[in-house]
Amino acid sequence: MVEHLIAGVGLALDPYVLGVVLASALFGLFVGAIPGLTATMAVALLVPVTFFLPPIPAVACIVTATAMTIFAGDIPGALLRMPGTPASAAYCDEAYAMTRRGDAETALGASLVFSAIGGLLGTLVLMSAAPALANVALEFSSFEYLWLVVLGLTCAAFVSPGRPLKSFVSLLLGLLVATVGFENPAAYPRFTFGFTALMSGLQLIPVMIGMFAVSEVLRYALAADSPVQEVPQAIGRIFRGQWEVLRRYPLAAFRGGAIGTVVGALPGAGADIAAWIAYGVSKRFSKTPERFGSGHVEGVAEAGAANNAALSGAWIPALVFGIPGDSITAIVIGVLYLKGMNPGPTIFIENPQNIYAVFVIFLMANVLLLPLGWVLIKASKNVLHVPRNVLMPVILLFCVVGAFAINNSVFDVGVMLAFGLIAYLMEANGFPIAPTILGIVLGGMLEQNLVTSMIKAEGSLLAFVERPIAAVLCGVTVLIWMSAAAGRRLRPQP
Amino acid sequence: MRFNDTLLGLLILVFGAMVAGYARTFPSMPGQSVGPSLFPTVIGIGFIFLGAALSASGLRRGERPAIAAGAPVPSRRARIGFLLVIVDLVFYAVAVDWLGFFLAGFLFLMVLMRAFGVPTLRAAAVSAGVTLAMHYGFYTLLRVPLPWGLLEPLAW
Repeated sequence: MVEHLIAGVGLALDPYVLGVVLASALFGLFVGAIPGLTATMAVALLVPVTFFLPPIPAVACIVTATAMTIFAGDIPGALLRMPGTPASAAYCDEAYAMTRRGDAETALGASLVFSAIGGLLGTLVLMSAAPALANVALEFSSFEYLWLVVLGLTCAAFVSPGRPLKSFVSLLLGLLVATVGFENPAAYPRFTFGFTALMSGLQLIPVMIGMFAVSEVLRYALAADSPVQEVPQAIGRIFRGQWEVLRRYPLAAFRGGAIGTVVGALPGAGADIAAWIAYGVSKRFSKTPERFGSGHVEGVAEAGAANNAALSGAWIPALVFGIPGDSITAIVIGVLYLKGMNPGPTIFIENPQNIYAVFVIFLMANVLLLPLGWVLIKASKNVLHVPRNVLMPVILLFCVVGAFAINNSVFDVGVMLAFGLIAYLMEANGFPIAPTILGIVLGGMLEQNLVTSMIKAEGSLLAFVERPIAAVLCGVTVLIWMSAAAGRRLRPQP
Repeated sequence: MRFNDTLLGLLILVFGAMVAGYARTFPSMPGQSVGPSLFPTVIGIGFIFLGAALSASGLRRGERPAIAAGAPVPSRRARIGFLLVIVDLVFYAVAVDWLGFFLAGFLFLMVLMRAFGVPTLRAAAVSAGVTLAMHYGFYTLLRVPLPWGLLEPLAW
């Protein structure tokens, strides 16, 4: 492992990679600081760029940008009470209360320091857990993979905000999209309706750009123009007093990091849900729960650590099983395939130095967060004032150039637009997007393993649960379904 | 645009029936019990059940199928903006090969910025700057073959 790590450090410290890291860091900070632009959107916009980069810089680009975006979302949350990304929504009111009290420095400083700590903790867990899990996963057959995918999709549908009924519709839509084309066990072209462009299936990149970026521009176009608020005050010394905060709430950093990593690793639940849970846990176990809501730094610190840790956590199932932990890693998996770094347990055997390089970049990005985050906070007055009516057309042009650049096909632009409209309609009607994305990414894997398992089982249902790990995974899945059903029955009807 | 649960459920149900029905036309694999139609059929049936359940929950609340009431109606300008986003995308895709990236990109930005209320002079300046910057990033740095179109004689 040590030699792989050293080789990874060598790959990560390449000047070209460092340049990409710096550029994507600035991009990520900017996107995060603009309310309405999410980390997933940052990744969707970066994918066309990564398409033209070598593998390590391509992944470095995404890793760095997301780490920066999730932190930067805290800034408008604290200063304007508008979370920059959904991941900052959980403690936005708390941080804003601190700002109104004149404590913006402490709120932003804690966000920054604890984001970095959370990110680092999550990465350390990723570095130790992923190779160990991969060793176990080497023994997996189609039965284990089948149950793993079913478990992942079940989680994705149940943890999404909103009604499970609608989450499952979203999920099925994703699975349906995944069936398009002839890449199925029978190699029969399904749902292509005579379009040759659909033969190899719907391209992931235009679909993602449509669902995460174009839909946002459409939503902006329909929303009434909201006036830009003034940033209240000049920001003083950000790091002052942070050592004090860290000493007073050491547990917050660790617990936030741990909760974030675990929630991140669950398919479908990402940084936003991690922050909500960590904030709730922090309040529940705090010595001074009554101070929560009035501008208390403890919850900001713990949830701030959790959302950054969740980013790394989500990579665990993504790298080891090819099952994304959140919508960001769903896109990442697509990029990994494009770059020949196919996720799965063998990734640690075939090209371990590449993966360790990714880990090193994770560490680097979270350390780099401190100085760059400081600069962004200082510059927040200017960044937050970028007019939305200029920004949105630019984003849209970026989308269309990105979707177009990959195949030079007008068809892809059509796909992007169609999925932008679909995602817009889904969100307007309360259907979560994340299960759809997971369905698209996992649909092929689900069908492949289902068909292989059915053929191997030769009609025996027992074969699906004969192997111990398959039985456990099946049991957990059934438990989740039963507890969800019981929960519905116990909940008082409105 | 928002629909109430009864109508949404119905739409999903019909969609599921169409998916499942179409999937039945896929050929079976000789000598095997599972073919390409299995998975889409299951998805279609899933849609039918979920759609029925959603409709039922709406009907229980006494909802007739309808586009949801109470949603704020966007202003005329907002609706035009929404449509222009779509038209602009189609325009770019159709025109970029002929006009080239510089002209198509500039017009694309101009139209949307004006629709979103950016003053003309500012919109023109930003559109020109962004088009140049994006061309540098994609064409020069990433070597994406952005088309030159009408400006072919000036190509570098």
